[in-house]
Amino acid sequence: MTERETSSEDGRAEGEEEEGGEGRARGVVECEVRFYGGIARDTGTERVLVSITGGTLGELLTELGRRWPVLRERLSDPAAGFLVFVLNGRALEPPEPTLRLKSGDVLSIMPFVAGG
Amino acid sequence: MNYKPGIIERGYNNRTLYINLSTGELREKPVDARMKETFIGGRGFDLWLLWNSLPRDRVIRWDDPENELCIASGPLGGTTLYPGSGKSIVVSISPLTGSVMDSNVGGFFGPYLKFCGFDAIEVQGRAAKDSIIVVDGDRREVRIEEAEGLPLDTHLLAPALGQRYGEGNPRSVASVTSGRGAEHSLWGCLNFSYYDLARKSYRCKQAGRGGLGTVMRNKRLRALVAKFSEMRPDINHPADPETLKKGGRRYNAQIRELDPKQNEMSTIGTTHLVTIMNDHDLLPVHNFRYGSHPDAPKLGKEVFRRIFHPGYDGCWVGCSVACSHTVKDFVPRTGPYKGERVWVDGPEYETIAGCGSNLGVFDPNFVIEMNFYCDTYGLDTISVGTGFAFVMECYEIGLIKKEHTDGLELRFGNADAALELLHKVAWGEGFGKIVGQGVRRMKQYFAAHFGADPQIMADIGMEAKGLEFSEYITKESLAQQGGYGLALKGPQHDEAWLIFLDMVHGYLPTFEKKAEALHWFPMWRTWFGLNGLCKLPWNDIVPPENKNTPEPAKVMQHVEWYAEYFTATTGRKATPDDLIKMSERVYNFQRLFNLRMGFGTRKDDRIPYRAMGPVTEEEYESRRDRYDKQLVENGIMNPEGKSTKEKLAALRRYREEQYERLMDAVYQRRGWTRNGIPTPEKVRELGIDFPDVMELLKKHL
Repeated sequence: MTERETSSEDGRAEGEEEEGGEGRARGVVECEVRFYGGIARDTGTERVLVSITGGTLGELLTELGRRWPVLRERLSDPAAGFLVFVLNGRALEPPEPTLRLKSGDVLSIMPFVAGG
Repeated sequence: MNYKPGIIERGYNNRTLYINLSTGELREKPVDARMKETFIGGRGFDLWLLWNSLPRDRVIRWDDPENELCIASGPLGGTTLYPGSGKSIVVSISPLTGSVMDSNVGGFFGPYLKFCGFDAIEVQGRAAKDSIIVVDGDRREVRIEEAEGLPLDTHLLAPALGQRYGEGNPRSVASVTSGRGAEHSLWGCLNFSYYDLARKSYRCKQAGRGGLGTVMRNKRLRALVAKFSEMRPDINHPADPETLKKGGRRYNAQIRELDPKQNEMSTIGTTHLVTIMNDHDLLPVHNFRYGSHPDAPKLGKEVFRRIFHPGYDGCWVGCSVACSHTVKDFVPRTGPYKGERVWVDGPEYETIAGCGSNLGVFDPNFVIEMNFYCDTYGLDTISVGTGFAFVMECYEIGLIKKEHTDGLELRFGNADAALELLHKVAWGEGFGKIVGQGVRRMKQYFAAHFGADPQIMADIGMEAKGLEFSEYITKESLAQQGGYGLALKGPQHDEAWLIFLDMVHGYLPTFEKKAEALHWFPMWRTWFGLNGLCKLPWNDIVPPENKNTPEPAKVMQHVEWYAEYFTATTGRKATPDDLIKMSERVYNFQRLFNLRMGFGTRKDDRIPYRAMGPVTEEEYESRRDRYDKQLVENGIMNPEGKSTKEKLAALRRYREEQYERLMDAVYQRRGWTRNGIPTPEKVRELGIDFPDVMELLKKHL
């Protein structure tokens, strides 16, 4: 399942932003977020494309919390709790909310995975 | 044989049961304090019993009557207050490796055997006719019976045994069986049954690895039955029941709260791993060529969430992880049970990856059918998956042809051909008989009889020590290459699963760190097998604060709980470091046992190149950016203007050298020589310097 959503608040279509380059100038980045474990069940999706204005990890997590209030508490302090945040295949340890993301980044949010 | 009732004290009966099927001899053997101190129980007891029962003057083969099938629980096994405490551990000389094999399995047999009065059972010899061993704890009686009038396939045999011995109480019977596949191949598994009260049916868990079912059927043993009716929560007579009760409640509460938020083991088992592995390029596809496939989500957890029958799925009483899921009313489309409605236990991740993605078949019903037939025929799904994947690649690249395969088009993705081959393996027919000998022997056979290129097969035949690999891609994790290659019994992930720690978390950047991980994790994981425990509660559910501990991968809160659990049961005070030391003794002893079997040195720890890197140009090209970058970053060569063949060769030289360096580092950390043999100093330090061990060492150093 893949959802495609944007958080642009001015109602502009995503394509328009990209074509005009205006969104990029304002720091809009589009990331893919993948959910694993119980968090995927809570969101009802395993992956979603999210556009955020700004482009830090903290802003992305805030946006996810806005879309799925059930996640808000778990994502409010990524350094705490059991969730692991993996950016482009490497775990963020610690996951700094100020970390800048770029378009095309893939953020995976998962429990600790231990194999069989 | 009638025996005196015993009372389990602090987890031990202090005796084991010896049975010789050739002579009909049945006797008790005492367990003394040194045996408990040194070998703890479970796998440790099995190894010690086998070590002492094999002839001293020669190295036996797996099918010599002197070989034994040893099964034990452990001092903590059979506890119902603590999660994951009902495991049995089987040890024997393997038909695949020719050396010691161990396998850890759920079901009720190990705990029931212990409740009947024995810490372990060792079965030696070969019966003249198909036989059943019955350990009847209700009557305090052990007997050997002829197996007349019973079906052979497990899904029919387990209920038939329940009917025959249950006396109206089906839950009082736990059996160990195999099937016809174990008679005709070296991939035989053992099925350990338990009665599912809610579903009113017998279920089975498998001791899959290494052909232990083949040993059982070679002994003409049809079943082992333990009968016990009076199970009570305090039956293990722990030293400190209050601490145990409190600790068990705490652990179960944590699991019940966190598992639904984490990996959901109690709902979907290990199927959650399929998409995670696929997304990280770690899911074996087409005989481990690739680590991902766009169709992999068709075998993912959401599919099995819909397929699994809802209900409690613990393979032992009181387990809150309860990950042994089942499929109800499955209707096979092939084979002798075509069109019937059957229960299927599983599939778990390994079966899905081995019999699904690795064969290029992304159909859950195919995987379930493979799972059903493997179980009822008594075949290991991992060896079948990896073995069939090898056959398919040999077919695809023209090493074997239709005239060799009885006309089967064994291309990746051909589900019908794979099922047909499975039936042929199980019934010992034609090409199936060759395939069922395992990848190592197939390589020899294909070269000798079909003219196949031995070098290519050495690179792509995914076996080491004679055992087929379990189902993870290791090309990008040197630590996991060691996790497979340096495992005592062959490439099975239960010793060390380090892929994520290495690749995703980046915890193991240096050889020293990798070597430390390849010391600590195998030792720690060994400990579960000494005690009759499952490892899943340890790190498949982690406490919320774990991430911020100094070594999150070790989940030290749980390790400390296990130390408390051990102390509360046995009365023997233990810290986490003590637990590691317990394992280190047994681990090194098993390494030396390998040496005794002509097997445990550096040359045996090497792995096929497919486990280390891309074998073919096609594989290289499929991940060219990654490999080109590595060539630059590691100063191997500038890839610009170089052919794929040149780059492939340079990368291979580098990776093979890295693996050799890893072996050096791990051997040093473990206190072994450069040839992978425990040093006399290490052996003395561990207290396993028995005279015959020192004699053995003298011959090899």
